[in-house]
Amino acid sequence: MKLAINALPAACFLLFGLAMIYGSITMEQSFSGTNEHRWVPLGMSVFVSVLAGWLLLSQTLRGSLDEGAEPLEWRSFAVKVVPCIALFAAYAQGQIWFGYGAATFAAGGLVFRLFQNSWISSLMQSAIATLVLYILFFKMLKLYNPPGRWLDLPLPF
Amino acid sequence: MIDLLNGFATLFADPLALVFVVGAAIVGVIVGATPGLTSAAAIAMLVPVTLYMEPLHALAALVVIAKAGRFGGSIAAIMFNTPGTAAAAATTIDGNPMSRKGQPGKALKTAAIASAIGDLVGDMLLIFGAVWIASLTEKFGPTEYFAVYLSAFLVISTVIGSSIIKGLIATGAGIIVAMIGPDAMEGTIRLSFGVFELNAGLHLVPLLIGMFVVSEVVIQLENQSKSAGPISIMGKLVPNGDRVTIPELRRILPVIGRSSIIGSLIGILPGLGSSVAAFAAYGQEKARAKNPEEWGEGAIEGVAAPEAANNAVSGPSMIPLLALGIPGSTIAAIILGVFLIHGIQVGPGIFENPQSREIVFGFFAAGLLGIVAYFLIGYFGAGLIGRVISKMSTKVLFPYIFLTCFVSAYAARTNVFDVFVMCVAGFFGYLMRKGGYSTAAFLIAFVLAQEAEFRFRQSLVLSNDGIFIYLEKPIALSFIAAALCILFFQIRKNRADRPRKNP
Repeated sequence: MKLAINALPAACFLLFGLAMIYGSITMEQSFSGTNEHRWVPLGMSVFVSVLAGWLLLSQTLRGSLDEGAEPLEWRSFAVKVVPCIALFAAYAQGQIWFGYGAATFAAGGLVFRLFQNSWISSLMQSAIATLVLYILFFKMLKLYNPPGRWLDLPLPF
Repeated sequence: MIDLLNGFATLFADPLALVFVVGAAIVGVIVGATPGLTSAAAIAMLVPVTLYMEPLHALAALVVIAKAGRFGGSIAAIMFNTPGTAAAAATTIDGNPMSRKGQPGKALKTAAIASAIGDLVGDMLLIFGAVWIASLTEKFGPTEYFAVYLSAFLVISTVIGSSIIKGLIATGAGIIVAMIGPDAMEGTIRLSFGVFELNAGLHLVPLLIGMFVVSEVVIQLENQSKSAGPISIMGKLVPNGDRVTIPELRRILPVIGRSSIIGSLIGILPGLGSSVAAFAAYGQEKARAKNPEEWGEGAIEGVAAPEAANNAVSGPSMIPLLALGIPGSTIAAIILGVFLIHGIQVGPGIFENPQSREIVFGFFAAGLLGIVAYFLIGYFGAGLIGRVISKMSTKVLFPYIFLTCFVSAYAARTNVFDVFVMCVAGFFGYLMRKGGYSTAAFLIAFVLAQEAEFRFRQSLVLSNDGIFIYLEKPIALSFIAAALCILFFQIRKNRADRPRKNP
């Protein structure tokens, strides 16, 4: 099981390479009617897939960690890393649905809490961070702040 | 020389540029001194802000953050026994024992002097070396350029990181990701898998922030239970123990001089970086020392050597970028991105165009002024900065960084899709860091790939013999041969090292 999780980076590169081989093969012809634009992506995808496959195989046969790699743990990966990335993606989607202010306040509160701050401190810090970043980026740099699809929370500036 | 004076004149005529230089020096020192944060991460978060700045202001701020960040790493190495940057790891060997002996002030002042002199030597090599190399490469055609890019890919994947195969995978993946979007020759959309937002290709900023910053936030979250609590300062200050005396200065100046040269020479080679330079200089000076038994126990020369070498890398690492358009480090890759965002084409022509020439010499002048700024901050305020950082908690710092990442990634193109790209890049960055793959090699390859492919296909169009054109051009052939030699020797070195590592 330990080896399986430690081989995850190589397995991801292999999957990525294979997906890109598929993407390169199924690419449309260019406007000039040639296939030249496929050569480099296809060549590099095959190169990455072969190397990643070879690395994955050698890791599996050897059964030990590579030089320079840190051990990954299933529990930590499943309980901390995956939910953390899912929270980040939910925050990005939350910006589309609920607008910057509400999404940032909610996601910020959760992240402060994940870093072991108390709930009250987390919500207060999150409110401060939301306001500071809103003023810096949307007021001072005049970035476009799209309203949320479902909620358009007005900020006090 | 006159161009450099003009650069200073441009800078001094613009008070806002001076404010950016001083502000960037303060930010750089603080970021470098904070364990877990790197100047590359800070620069990655600030790149979107620089889109709204004048080109000279943006470049000046970023280069000074990079320089000051390298010095800042020594504060954490000396005061907390935790190097703030990888490059400062060698400084810990003697810096921390000096701190434990009650001389943290002396160690910090030595680091400030050595860093500033090393940086100055490196910048002189940059200013004169980049102009000279650029003049040699003026006649390069697409064939020679592709050979240079190919050798850069080979050298970077070979020398960055511990495994050649992982370096090659990371570089290859960076090239493929750069292929997403319109083809540089004909504009055909590639590898978008029907996702509309991918038709324009991926932007550097969300990838940078994801790989460097989001992955670090995830690692910090993962380690929360292991490393809670504030950082403790090693050693107490002893009265009159913080001055660098004249005899000590006489002892360390030759060490600083030699180490600066070692660092400058290592800096020119793409991919080797500051930590290699710092350890090489430390080893070299320890071997030459009359008091080798004192090294590791708090020898002042043991702080001066690695600090001079790691800061001397900063300037020369920009030579391949400015002269050839090839970034030799992650920070150089980010700065290349900023040059391109502001419409400045790097490479030999950069010194020909009067407008870009003025900006580049202003950039050099900002670097020199930044050295003075971080030296003064470091010499007089490093102890205070260290004490303030020791009070900061990762519990508060990293959530703020997390929230800034999201708005920075969005700011690059005001597109929420880039925020999703950043999340995916953060996940891959985490896996790459855990698996020992170089995120720097990935990003450098991403930045170079489009131009490399364009030159490759351009040279094939010019050639009747197809790929054999590279055998007909001596300059191109020599670049490829040199890169293959480095690859060959690195493979041999790795094989020779293996039995010693796994007895």
